[in-house]
Amino acid sequence: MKKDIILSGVGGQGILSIATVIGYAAISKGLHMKQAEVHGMSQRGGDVQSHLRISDKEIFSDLIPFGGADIILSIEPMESIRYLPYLSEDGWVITNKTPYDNIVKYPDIADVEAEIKKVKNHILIDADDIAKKIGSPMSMNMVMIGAASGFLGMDYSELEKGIKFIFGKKGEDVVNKNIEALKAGKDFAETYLKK
Amino acid sequence: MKKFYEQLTDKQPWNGLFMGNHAVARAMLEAGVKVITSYPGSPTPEIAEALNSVPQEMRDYHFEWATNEKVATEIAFGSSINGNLSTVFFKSVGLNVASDSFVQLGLMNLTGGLVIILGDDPGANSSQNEQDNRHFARMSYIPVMEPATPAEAYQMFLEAAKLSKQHQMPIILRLTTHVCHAKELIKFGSVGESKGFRADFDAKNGPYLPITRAVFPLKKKAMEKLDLLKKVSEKSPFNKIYSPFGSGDINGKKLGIISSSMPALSIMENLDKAGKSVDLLQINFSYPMPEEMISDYLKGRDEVLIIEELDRIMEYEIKSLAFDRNIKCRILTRGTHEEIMGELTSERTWDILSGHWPQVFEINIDPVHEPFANPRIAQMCPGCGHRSAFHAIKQALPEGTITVGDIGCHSLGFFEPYNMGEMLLSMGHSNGTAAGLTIGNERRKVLAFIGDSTFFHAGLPAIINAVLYDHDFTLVVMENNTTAMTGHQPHAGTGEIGEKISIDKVLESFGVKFIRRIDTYQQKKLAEYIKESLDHKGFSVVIASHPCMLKFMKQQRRKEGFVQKHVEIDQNKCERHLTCIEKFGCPSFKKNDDGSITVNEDLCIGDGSCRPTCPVSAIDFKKEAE
Repeated sequence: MKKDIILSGVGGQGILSIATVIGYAAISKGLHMKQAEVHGMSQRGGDVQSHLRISDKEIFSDLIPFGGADIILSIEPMESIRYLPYLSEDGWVITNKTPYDNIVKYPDIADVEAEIKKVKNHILIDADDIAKKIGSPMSMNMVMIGAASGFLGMDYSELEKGIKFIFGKKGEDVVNKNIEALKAGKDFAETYLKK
Repeated sequence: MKKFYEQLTDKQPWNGLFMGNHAVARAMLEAGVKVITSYPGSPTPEIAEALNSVPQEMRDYHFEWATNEKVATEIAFGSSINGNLSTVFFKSVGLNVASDSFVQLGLMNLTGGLVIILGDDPGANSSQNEQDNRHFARMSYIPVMEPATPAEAYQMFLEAAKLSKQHQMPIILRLTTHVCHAKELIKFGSVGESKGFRADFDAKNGPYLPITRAVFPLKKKAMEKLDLLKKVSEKSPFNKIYSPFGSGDINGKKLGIISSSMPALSIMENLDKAGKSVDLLQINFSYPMPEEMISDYLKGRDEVLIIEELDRIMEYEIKSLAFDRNIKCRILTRGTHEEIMGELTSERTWDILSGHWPQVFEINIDPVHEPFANPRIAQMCPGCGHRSAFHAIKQALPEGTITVGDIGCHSLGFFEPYNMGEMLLSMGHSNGTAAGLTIGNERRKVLAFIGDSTFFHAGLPAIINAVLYDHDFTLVVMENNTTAMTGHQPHAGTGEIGEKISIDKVLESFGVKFIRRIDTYQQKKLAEYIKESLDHKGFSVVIASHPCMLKFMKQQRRKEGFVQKHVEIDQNKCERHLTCIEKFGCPSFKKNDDGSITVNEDLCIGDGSCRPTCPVSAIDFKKEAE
């Protein structure tokens, strides 16, 4: 079992909590896990990415090579296709639809979506909208994990455990909201793929 | 989940998912380090983040943000010769600042031990160059350990601390960006009982005065210590062979690779992918080099390819070893200038490997998918006081003015639409460089920038010089009351450590005749001051101040009952001059397809610093719904 996942988004969107939840789920299952975090300038709005590698064998580099990623999990649409060279031939692009438009030359969103749809395996999800509908806009990134949950090579219940572990100290309400978001993401992806 | 500091200080052994920087902080506690000093700089500030997370009363150590890297090094030296195990850490270019004292450390008998952690930055991810600090180690007779992973960084720190105490010598732990920031599960040991601070300095442990002829016995001793450490590196478990498919003949030749730290990991992955009988000697305890181990490796192979990140250091030493020992192995190396630059990721090392041995590394690794995205160039945050300052200053400058940049968030002023701060060498260079630009220059005005942390770090000597000679330029102190770029660390002027040291009073005491202070949101007044200061004959200073709004907003959002404010554009007033977008350049403004301008409320913080920039006053605070 090997899952190489590129997490991408824009500074301040919370890709690191995605990495933390999946990472804890992986190590509690006894898998090897390595994560490359990108730190740098503390400002918001720059592109950020994190490489998350999970395997039942020892992992050497923390970096995923070009053509090696099983999944690009992105919380911003343009950021999902920035990292396409990393994607393997049969890899999945799972991305949020809401653009984070803080640059002068943000491409036409229709062009961005067309590019994403060129990848044969993709899920486009409006995670912001889904999170708002369940009354927890901050849980958008958990919706994204839910959308990817069928491709992570681990049981769904492990992800729920990961959320309980990470958000446990913030109280039951926060945990439940995040689990609800996870479920909403999962349901959306299942329906999306049936179409 | 335990709180972070509870994990960090847990007395019992445990397994933790930690990044490299946090792992070395844990290692410091296990090793019993008493004094730790630093100056903030990527990729290492998270070491301090970990150390500072521990409540003061639980600390068995003293941690200090020093004014600069040289001061930090000297504090660590002083505490070490008092018998305390000490550590200093900073970023790659920080060693240039520290170097005047650092290069002496190898000569000294460091009774308590001293580990120097260097955060080198191959790829220049957050630095003004990608200098290879292994050069400095050789110049200063100081051993180097180069971990490849966070777990190894933890283990190596413990080993470095042990050897440093045992031989009373400094040891460098050289981390690179990906070791600092990678995360993995690490098996930690226990933290022992606290031992008190020592004050055992005795000149007899020295001598500690390297003057003229006294230098030679000290230098001899430094070299003898290195000889001892060579024996350790020969047997070090950090130097090892990776041989997934044995080391058989390929077309009648035995092939091998020598590498170290992170690129060695890339190579290990590539060896697995290639599936051929080539092996790898990984040298992570890299200086002094384990000569016997390397000789044996070379002797057993027909061709050995040396792949190291950045400069050709290991390569030249191995070649000279092979020459001296008359070893017949053919030594192959990286060829192009490009291969001397940047991080050696697995696809880049694959290219180097397949360039030499196409029959072994034969799979095509070209990407299947092409990228499609426009860059998100680093930019100042919404509400940043620097934006208001640049916007106002730009309008006040006469044609042909030369502007000198410095290090900090305000370096971003060089990008569109401000284009200010046109050259950069190092922390605090701006005053010296500006002075040079004024000499014999009757024609063009000169204006320099400096941040407030940098003012204290390395700005003062050149400012004193400018006062002494009354060099005719204007210094703008871009004060934001923090060290913003590296994550909001305190400095001498913030009042978070000791009593705030006033920049104004420092300048007055130097005898600066023209000093003005203004909040940068007062753009009109700031522009007036800039004009006035440039007309002033001789050295002048304008302190353009506004607190870092990223830090301020983080604090505000935590407050009970916080309501996010925004600005809005009165579409009836807006005449589409586009000043807010094209000249002021706040990312919160968006030009729509129909030509109208609206505010992106996800970005806007409602600071209102944009309001005075609109020529028709179409921007105002939004009346938020109750």
